[in-house]
Amino acid sequence: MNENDFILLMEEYFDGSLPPEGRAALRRELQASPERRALFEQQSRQHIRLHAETSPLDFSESQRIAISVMDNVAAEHHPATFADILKEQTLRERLAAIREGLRAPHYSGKYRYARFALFRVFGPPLMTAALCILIITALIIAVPRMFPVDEDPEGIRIDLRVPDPTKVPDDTPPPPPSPRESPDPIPINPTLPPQDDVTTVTVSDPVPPSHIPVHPTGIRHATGKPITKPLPALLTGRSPESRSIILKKTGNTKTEQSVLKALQWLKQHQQAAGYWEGQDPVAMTGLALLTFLGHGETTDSAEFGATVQKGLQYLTAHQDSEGYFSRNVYAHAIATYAVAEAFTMTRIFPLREALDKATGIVIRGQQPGGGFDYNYSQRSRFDTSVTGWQVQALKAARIAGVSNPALDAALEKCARFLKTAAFAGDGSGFVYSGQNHAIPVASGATWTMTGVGTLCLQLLGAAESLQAKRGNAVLENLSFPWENEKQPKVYGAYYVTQARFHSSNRNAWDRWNRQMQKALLSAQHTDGHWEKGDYDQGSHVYTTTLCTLMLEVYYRYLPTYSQPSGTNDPVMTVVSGVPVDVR
Amino acid sequence: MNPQELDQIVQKVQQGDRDAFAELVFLIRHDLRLFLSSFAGSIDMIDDVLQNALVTCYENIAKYELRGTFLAWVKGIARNLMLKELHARSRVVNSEEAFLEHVVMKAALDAAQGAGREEETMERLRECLEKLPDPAKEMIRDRYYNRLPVQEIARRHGKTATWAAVTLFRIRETLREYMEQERTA
Repeated sequence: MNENDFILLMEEYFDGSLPPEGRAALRRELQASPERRALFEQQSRQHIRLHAETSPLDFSESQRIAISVMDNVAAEHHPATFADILKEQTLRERLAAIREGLRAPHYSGKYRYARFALFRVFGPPLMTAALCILIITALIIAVPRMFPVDEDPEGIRIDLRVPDPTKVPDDTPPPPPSPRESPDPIPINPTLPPQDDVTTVTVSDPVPPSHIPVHPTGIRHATGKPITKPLPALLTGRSPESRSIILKKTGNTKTEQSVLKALQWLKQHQQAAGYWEGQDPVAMTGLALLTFLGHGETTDSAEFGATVQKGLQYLTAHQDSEGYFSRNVYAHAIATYAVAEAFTMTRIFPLREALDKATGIVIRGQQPGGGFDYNYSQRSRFDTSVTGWQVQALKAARIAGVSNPALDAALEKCARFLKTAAFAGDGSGFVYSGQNHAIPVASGATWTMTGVGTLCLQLLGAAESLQAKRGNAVLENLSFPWENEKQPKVYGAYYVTQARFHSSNRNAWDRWNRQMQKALLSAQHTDGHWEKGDYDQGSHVYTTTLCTLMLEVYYRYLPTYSQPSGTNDPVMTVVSGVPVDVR
Repeated sequence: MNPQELDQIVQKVQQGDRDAFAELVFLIRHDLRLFLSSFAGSIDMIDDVLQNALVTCYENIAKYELRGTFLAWVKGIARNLMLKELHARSRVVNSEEAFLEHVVMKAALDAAQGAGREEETMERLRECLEKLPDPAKEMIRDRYYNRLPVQEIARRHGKTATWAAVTLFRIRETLREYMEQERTA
């Protein structure tokens, strides 16, 4: 047998695809030649080593294995059934077990047990209560009908009529105030179509408290018409009312004053064409808009409405026919992120079109492995930093309701990418870059990228993943990177601040929060700006926006782990199909 | 992750925290796989022994004393289980039909008995992989990371299966030589 044939047989044996006649031939060869046998042994050793070395770091597989190990051991040593457990436990013990179980990961046995026990404990009383409510409701409805009252209740009358277009009825609320004065026309505000021959339902009393259309969350709408689609729960902290409540608990008046000063500085430094100066005007404009939107300022805001309007106009005007806001991959993602938030908060229709196109660019730019690289390159290199902004943009697009059918899959791929390729094999956090489909990166995590990876996993609904938890554990030992820094690392701090805020370790957050407030409040210039952050190109817009976003963290997104008062159990809700834990 | 951090997680497991065990598995699994691959007789043996090692580890974790030696402790368990398995399989496969498996198991057993520097071996392998030229890396990627059979690799490159097999053979030989050079250096 010549050497090449021998090598092919060997390779097919490693594959497990060698047929019986091939096995026999290989066996004869090894028996006849000690040299070839030695070669076969060496190659098989090397094959197994390479197989192990290149095994993907499949962390969900680790979870699965751990659970199967624990369940096996538990079944061997603790064969108690659910019924046995319930029989042996007092009510108090059951409640404690339920509470503990509901806080456990959903894949765990504890959680499944808690759900089961919850039904056992509370099911019958709840069913009885529900039945009672139904009976009482039916009685309330039925009794007045059985004993009709001749007179209408005073002050409450429902009046169905077709309005006369030539006559303004007396009880019509006063017209909305004249639109805010703006130096430019506002083409992206849709004009309301005239409403003729519309059957209206009016409630004569009580009179609406104000003619100014205000969304239930407190955010006014650019069109002067109440927003019909409520804002996602995740953003409701941005309304003035929620903000003040949240700030009483978490931030303080000084941080809010600081944010306002920064927003005013940004307003003053907006260029006439609507953009902000910096290394990349599109990116700077996106970041600046995010700070205004994060504070609940939309195109209809009294003080900053025109600023937001002009910024959005600049971005939409600079979007090319393909959908790119910029060919810079960071700038495009940041602008997409800003437009997505703007659309979510205003529902201005032209933004939707821009957002759809921009989101399509990001989705198409995703690598098969789930990550991203500069220029949306599809080569093997991935870049976690680039990926961070794409994830934020895609998540914002998801909240905005972008209907791209590939969006959910793209988000899932992002999460998978962050849990595998971007996570260092030694568990030390997330790495800056690496190669897709190659040997997983064994080490080299940085705190900045750990901030990026951890926050992104939280945004992607994977806050309970082991990688996110490890990321948070690594970040807990960090101090706010400002003291003694020539160029404070605002880029990393932006991510870490959010990741720490959304983590369940409140003590660690409180420590970071104190350091952050102290550093940022003392470093802010009297006119409202910050400077010298890493990657700042001299205009200070970059540093100012990131510092502002950090100080808006208390209300920008509701905490992923916030819990209702009086209970330790997180409440799960769904926002646009993306699960988030909110109040 | 340093040994003290690992011990902190172990302590949580000892106190009954199931989530902590999941985290522990996640942190040590890759290391254990690499360790076992140094003297495993086959790829499926790695996973079998790993699973058994984790079960033994979980059953006995209360006995582990927090001295910063957890990984070495688990590797000791894994090594004993692998040796036991290799002995068992060597006996079972010592037949004419299973001659190939017997050769592989015997080689693995020899490696296991002479082992002791597995981590260095794997470290060298990792370093040497980085030094391979790009086309060779691509072949390794296809064969191992993407788990493609030799026929499929040949098809993708528009070459014969013999070409793919010989190329992979040479890459493994080159790696072995690199590793040998590194070891002697």
